[in-house]
Amino acid sequence: MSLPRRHLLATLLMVLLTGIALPDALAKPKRGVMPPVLVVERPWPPVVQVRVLLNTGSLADPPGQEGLALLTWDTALRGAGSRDRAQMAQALDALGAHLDVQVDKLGASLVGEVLLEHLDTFLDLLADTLLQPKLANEDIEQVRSQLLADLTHLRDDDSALAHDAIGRYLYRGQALGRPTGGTESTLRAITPDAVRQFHKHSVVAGNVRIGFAGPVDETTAKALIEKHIGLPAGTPPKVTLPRVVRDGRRLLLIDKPRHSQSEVVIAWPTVAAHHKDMTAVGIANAILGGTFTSRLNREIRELRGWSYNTWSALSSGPQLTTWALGFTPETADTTPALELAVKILEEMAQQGLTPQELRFAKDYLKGMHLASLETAERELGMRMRAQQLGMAADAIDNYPQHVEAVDYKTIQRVLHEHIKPEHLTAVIVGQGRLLEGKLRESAAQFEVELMPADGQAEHTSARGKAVGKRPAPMEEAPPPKVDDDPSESPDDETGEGDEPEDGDEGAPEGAP
Amino acid sequence: MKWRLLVALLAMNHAALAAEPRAAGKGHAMQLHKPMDVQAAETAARTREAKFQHDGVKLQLRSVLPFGAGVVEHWQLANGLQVVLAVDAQVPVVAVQSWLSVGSADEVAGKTGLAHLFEHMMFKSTQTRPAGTLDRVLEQMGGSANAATSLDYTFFQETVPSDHVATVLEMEADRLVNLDLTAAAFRSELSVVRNERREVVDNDPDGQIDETMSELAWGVHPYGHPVIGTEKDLAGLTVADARQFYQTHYAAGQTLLVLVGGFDPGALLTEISKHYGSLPQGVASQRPTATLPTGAAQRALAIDAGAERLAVAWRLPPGDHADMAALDVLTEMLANGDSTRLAHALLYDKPIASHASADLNDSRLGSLLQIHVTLLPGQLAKEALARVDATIKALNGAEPMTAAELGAAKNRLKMAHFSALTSVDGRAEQLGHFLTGYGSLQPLLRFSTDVEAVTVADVQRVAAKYLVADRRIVVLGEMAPPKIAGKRRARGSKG
Repeated sequence: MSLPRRHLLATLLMVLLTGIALPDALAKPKRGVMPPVLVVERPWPPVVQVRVLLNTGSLADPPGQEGLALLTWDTALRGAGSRDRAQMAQALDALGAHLDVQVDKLGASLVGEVLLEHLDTFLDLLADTLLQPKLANEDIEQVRSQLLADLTHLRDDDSALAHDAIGRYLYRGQALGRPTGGTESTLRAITPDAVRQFHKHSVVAGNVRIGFAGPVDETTAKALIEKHIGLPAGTPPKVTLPRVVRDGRRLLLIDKPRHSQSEVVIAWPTVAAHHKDMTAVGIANAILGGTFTSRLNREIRELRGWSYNTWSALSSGPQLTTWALGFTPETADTTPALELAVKILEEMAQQGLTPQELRFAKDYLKGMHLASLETAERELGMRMRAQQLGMAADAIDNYPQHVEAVDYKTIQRVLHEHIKPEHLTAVIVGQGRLLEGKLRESAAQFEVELMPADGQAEHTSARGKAVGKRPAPMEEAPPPKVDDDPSESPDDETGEGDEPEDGDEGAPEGAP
Repeated sequence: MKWRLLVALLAMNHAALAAEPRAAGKGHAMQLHKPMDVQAAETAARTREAKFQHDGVKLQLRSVLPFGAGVVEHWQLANGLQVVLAVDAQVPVVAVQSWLSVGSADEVAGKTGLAHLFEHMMFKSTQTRPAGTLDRVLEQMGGSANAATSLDYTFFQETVPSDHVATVLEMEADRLVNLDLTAAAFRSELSVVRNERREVVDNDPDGQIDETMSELAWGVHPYGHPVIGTEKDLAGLTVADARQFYQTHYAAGQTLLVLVGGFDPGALLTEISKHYGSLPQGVASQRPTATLPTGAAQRALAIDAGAERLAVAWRLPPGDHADMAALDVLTEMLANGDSTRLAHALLYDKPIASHASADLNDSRLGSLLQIHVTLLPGQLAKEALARVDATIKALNGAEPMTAAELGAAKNRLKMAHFSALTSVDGRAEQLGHFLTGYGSLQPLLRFSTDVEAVTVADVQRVAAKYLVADRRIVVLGEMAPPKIAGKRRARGSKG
């Protein structure tokens, strides 16, 4: 493969200025296709974040092998190229670098950070991890044990348990209800050969993008990727999504008999992130529970003191968005708090926002957009996610204009069409046997299903736990988001009031 | 060639130099920017100071020091308010943080949790602004607000678009002295805080372990009670307690204002003087003093969880002690990385755990080096403790730290240091932490130099000095035994 002229010049300069060996830099570009590179440049600090994003996530797990994507990429961290697990760990630690894996429904990411002075060496390790992971049987078994342990840890964390359960319960029987972290039986069913095949089919040209955030410019970044990463041709796994069925109000009550508090999450599917109504939905979310002065925060936290944690959030996925809200009341306040939250939703759907609320939310979202682009890492994350979701090229840069364009008539219509209080799914983790009777008799009128926490054995992994100061109702200003590749989902170019189809992480973004 | 490419490449050139033998010594710091001319910055600041004095504004410049890619200016008003400014013209937002020299260590017996509860009360009404105004105004300008309470301080943070900073300063100055503490607002917020305690302690096995660790490590020391307060004390707090606390601890003379981001320092100082200059200084309350407790302690705690936990800690001196850089390196080399000793001992060689980490929590009256381990289901916290002890014993005996471990730990610390300074919020938080906690920015500004100077011998010395039985505290989070028909064992402390 020949080097493009500008890359050649950049590489020559790099060689002259850095002392990187000329033969390596010029004569040995990786064979294969260079992935697209996105760069968000900031001059300081001297730390570079590198994100490798693959458009194959847990939706590509074969039925009965849920957890395959996660098992594959967690194992990839355990040695690659000429290094075994210990040698790879030692090489990364020596640089002060770290390299982690994130897997969700839509994709998998290798995310690393390294001091600028070690970037070239780090990319060598990253390239091996992406292209030549060992995926040895022994490592697969150790990672499988860790993932099985994660299923146990999930049950110890009420918030993680509720967020996981809502995704599974809301989309039960659908592709989106299948857990990214697998279940005990599906994890045990995955063979080493399946892991290696999954990797092989994921890492192909057209399925991988790379981003840099930090003191690196685009020319340098591309020259480095040209040197380190060449992708083979191939076809990534195809994902087919069924439609989501709405079926009234359902509530899953997960029994934690010793707990004095309830973790409550209510969710419903709404339109895809690229839908023309999505900006208006974002505005409505700010008023519902996305700010400290939102309706939910005012009524549940400020006026009644029922919950420390009170929020609503939007989570974009393939072909639809999950809209969710939550709070954490004492057991005795659980039923009235649930009833109040449903009433707030009903009022919002029927009466919409006030003109003052619309103005407030627009100003809030436009201002927050500035902060969301403050650091290179945040901006890179947003831009790569936007690309993954197939958003319009100007979706982030022109977000303030899109927000300002939403008029009062539109927001009223959108609320009426996209909040369906008659179809809500809820999960409560708490004293199930104490709450069950009250919830069945509640004015909120949910169909209640009780299960012990141990019944959640078939659950996904708890990855991280948000511990905040004051819990932010929404951690990031949602840009207008567009769902996944339209070429894969011809039905998702929905019009007004179209039924959403499928997709999502289950656990809402920004949820504490 | 664009200058940005040039500086990136020059940085790589420095990297190549840095990879050469250590005989080259220190001083290979990359120059991503043209070096900030600290002298020129100080001259500009002195000029501003002279102008303020000419105009009758009592603002004193205490120092101008290099910080990050720029400088940090330290000012003080006549009423004792301290102001720290760090301009970053690249960003369109400003972090505004107010740091109060009061934390849970300043609470009196029976009133634990008051500092944290008061942090919540600061978002209520003032004499001229109804409750919720601060949040509403901030959100309307596209800003965000939060707050936190620690052992030694309380701080309030806002991040707003640059053109709204003056409004934020006006509201911050207002709530510092004009809070309107009503009984109704107090009751409601007390309920919120008690719910917060249920969430982060009572129903969280890790929260229970942390609370037990503080109790065992510090005992009757001012750090011995939980920052969030005990449930018993919270239940007994009154609005009169809150009013007394406000009068005692919230005043200009006990406040540090930190601003980081895109702003004009001259215009900002004028606004600060306008809103804070006439506030009363207040009477500085005596901060608690205490010596480090001694003696080993261990407790087994029955937790409602699917896997056991282990927490091990050693008491260390205050965070500005000369040994802290070596202790930072020691902490890193023990567990923070997949090739570290505890990673091998617990996660990879005959694994018994799914998570192991080490943290150095530095504070004004004493610090803790803590190790946290989450076991694999079926594995025992006692076994993890045995492996931790064996690892420490080997470090202090037959297997001292290697040069490779030292280099890796230093690189990880350098990364962590820069990562903490990436955002304007992060930079403001670091400045506030050190100036409020230790009365000096030097531990922060010297961090990289101090860490770079640490040798293997330094780490071995502090390991032998501090990782000893007399300083060690252990909390074993053990699985609650299964219920036996007709019998029920009480939850809680066993040891």
